[in-house]
Amino acid sequence: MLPENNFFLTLASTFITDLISTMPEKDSSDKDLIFSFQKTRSNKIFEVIYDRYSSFVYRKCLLMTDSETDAQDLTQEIWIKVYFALDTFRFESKFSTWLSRITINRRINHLKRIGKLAFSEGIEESENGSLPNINNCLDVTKLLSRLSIETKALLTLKYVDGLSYEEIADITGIGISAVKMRIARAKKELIRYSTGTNSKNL
Amino acid sequence: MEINEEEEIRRLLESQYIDVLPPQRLKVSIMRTIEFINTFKELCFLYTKGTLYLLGQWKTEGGES
Repeated sequence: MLPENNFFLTLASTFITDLISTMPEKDSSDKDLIFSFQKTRSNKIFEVIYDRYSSFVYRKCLLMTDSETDAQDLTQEIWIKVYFALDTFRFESKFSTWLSRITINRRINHLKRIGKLAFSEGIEESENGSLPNINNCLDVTKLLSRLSIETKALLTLKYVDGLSYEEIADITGIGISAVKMRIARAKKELIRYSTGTNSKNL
Repeated sequence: MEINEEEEIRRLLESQYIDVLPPQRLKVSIMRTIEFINTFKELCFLYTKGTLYLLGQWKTEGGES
């Protein structure tokens, strides 16, 4: 049996044990981390979440913007939104899905706002009436840089973010048929390039 | 076939930035901005509370001034 003057020590020890048990570790699940963040609003916990998903968000921003400066601005905007919206996350979907949705919306809005993205219903064509000739491209970066930022955004939304044509049409504000057509043409060119490169390498 | 094509396009798009990591200073910048916003919100709250208190309009949750 503990002496009476040890009562406060026991109380303090229980408090510290409770505190430690509520502090998530680096390998905690997303759910534990977010739950702890919602309870404590601790910046340390938010940093663990950031470290886990920062590359995921940053790469998607780079894919859309092709500019490190824009991608960094956009990443910052997204994570600040996540910080203040995390309280509203109700664990109805996976955290990565929720984060993806925020990332997609912010990316599109940001690009529209800075005037780098202006979707139109028409099919873009180069001066001679066809898509840019990409057969002579030396690498993927050069190949993709020949696509307009709108087409690249559509391809990213479809193949990296995994959205349906309907969802893309909804987000970008252009018709489903225009989305389908532009993606199909860009896809055809990319596949042709990819096949050409692979066969050259054989 | 369709799945292979989709996978190929995804791989092509992602291959550009596969090894890219966000710079460390970005994290510092984000955390500083968050701290700034939190401080600003706190100051706005205190300013509103102080003003309402001076006007005799501040009420606690129990309804007392």
